[in-house]
Amino acid sequence: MQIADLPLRSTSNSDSVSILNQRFPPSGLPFYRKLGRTDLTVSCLGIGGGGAISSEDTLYAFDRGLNYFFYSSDLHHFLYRSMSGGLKQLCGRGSSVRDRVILATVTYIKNPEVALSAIFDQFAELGIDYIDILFWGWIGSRDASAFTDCLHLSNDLRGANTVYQRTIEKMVGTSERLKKMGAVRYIGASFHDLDLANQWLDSPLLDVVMVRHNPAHRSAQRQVFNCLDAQNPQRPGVSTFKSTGSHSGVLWDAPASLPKGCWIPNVPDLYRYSLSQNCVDVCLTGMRSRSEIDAAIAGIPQGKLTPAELDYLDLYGDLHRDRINIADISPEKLIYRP
Amino acid sequence: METMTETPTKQLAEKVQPPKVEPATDEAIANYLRYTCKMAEIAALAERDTAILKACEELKIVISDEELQATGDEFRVKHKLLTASETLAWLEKQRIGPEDWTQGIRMQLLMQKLKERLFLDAIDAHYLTNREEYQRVAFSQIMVAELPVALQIAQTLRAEKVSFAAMAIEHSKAYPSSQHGGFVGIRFLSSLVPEIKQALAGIPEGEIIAPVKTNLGYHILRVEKWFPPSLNESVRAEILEVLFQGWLISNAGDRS
Repeated sequence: MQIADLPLRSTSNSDSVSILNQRFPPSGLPFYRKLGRTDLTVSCLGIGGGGAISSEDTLYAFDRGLNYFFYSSDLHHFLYRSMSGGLKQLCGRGSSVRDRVILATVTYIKNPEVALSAIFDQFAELGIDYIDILFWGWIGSRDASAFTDCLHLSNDLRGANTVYQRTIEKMVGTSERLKKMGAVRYIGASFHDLDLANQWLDSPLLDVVMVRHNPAHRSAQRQVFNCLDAQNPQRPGVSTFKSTGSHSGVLWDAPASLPKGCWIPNVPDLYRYSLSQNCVDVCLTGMRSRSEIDAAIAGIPQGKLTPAELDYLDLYGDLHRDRINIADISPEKLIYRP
Repeated sequence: METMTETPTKQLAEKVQPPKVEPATDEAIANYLRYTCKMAEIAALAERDTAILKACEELKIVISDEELQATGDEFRVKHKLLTASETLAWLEKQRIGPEDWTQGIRMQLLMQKLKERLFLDAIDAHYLTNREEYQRVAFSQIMVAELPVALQIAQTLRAEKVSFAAMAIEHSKAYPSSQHGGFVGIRFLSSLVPEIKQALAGIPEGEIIAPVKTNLGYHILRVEKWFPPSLNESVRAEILEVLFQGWLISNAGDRS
């Protein structure tokens, strides 16, 4: 070995400049927005397969600008599979638009030992290189312990050069995108128990929180949305689901006691109700057809609902659940629309 | 009186200087290792290297001149031996020549290459199978010899009358954690003695754990923070080392 004088090395590191999340103005409803602390840019409306949307209409939604798609490989798979062809086209290996799509998948099997198999099913079915967000689904009040175990996988699941990426690579074959992105980019959870959601809001192991929210079920506002600081770039991303539904019926059907002529919100109004809440980034929908997609997109430029409209819809939701008597509502709080 | 007893000793020390001796020969060094009972330890390391060389030969693992040079240069940067003269002076101080040093670098590279050839592909599978073994915990302890004392300390801590750190500094016999307010550090759960491991498992952060008996005494414990298992680079290196050491031991067993 040669022993010669070594050149002096610079000890200063030129820090690579991080690309900071662009934040949209606090007013209005920008169609695209950053999803919390992730570096994902999402459309404010997402589509899940719960409404059994067809692959053709899934592609239509993408052409219209929606880029957030939610897919289940286990629970309700018989409904979701009708969109799988479209997702294969958008996200499958070799897709030229993959980097413009946000693919969120969910498994309802809350067991770390099964995680690899659940992910493998999704890779095999959709022929993909990577998943943008893997959701642990249906986190209920009895799932605290199992959910903790699941989240403890996050650092092994997320990102490039992880044990799960290398293992998936062995199972499905390698690709440049899989190496670069990792098998899974971010971790999310769909909560049915809002106390648990609240406990995990500030965890580095959980990137995206999804909760049920609509005018008849507003607890998420107090327990999740309003616990987050919209100016905090490290807050988790937030998505809502069931924006139009309640166990007392679909919310576009007026409650029986609602006076004639009062505003009956349509489906796009209900999406805007969720999107008008603090820190809600995405409203996940179960849209089923092109006409529903068009209507939802057309509603967004109307912006956020006004405080008066939000108050009215709160009362509307309470009427839906028979939590309030119409006689107890002061007339000036009612909004009449043709 | 004290000055009278010290004076002759002082005078003797000044009179008798440490004798000048010649640098130790290889034979003298080997002799030293024998009579200080360090021979077996060093012999085992030498045999390990011989086994590594044989295995590398069998697997046709070689080190290129470029690899050798790059690693040698990295070594010199790390040890701030930037000039040739500094390096040669350092080698002289180590009582080795450039060839010895080069051989050391070559061995280091061969060992790393052998480890990776044998076990790199096995790391992920080992981790996924033994994932819980790699959970880490930051914890503190106060260790005392007597159970009544331990119980009293635990009771005082639970009543939150004094801080854990203050009690550790005052009472703990465990070194060096007692010097750090009882903080032991961040440890793999699997690396702890079974009694401690069992006591810590599943305990929430901040909770005082009742005295646990081990061979060393009674331990009052507190979990500071749990770290979920994660296969980062340091854990990968550790697993690689564990698998390699296991292979070496089985290899040594075969030889014996």
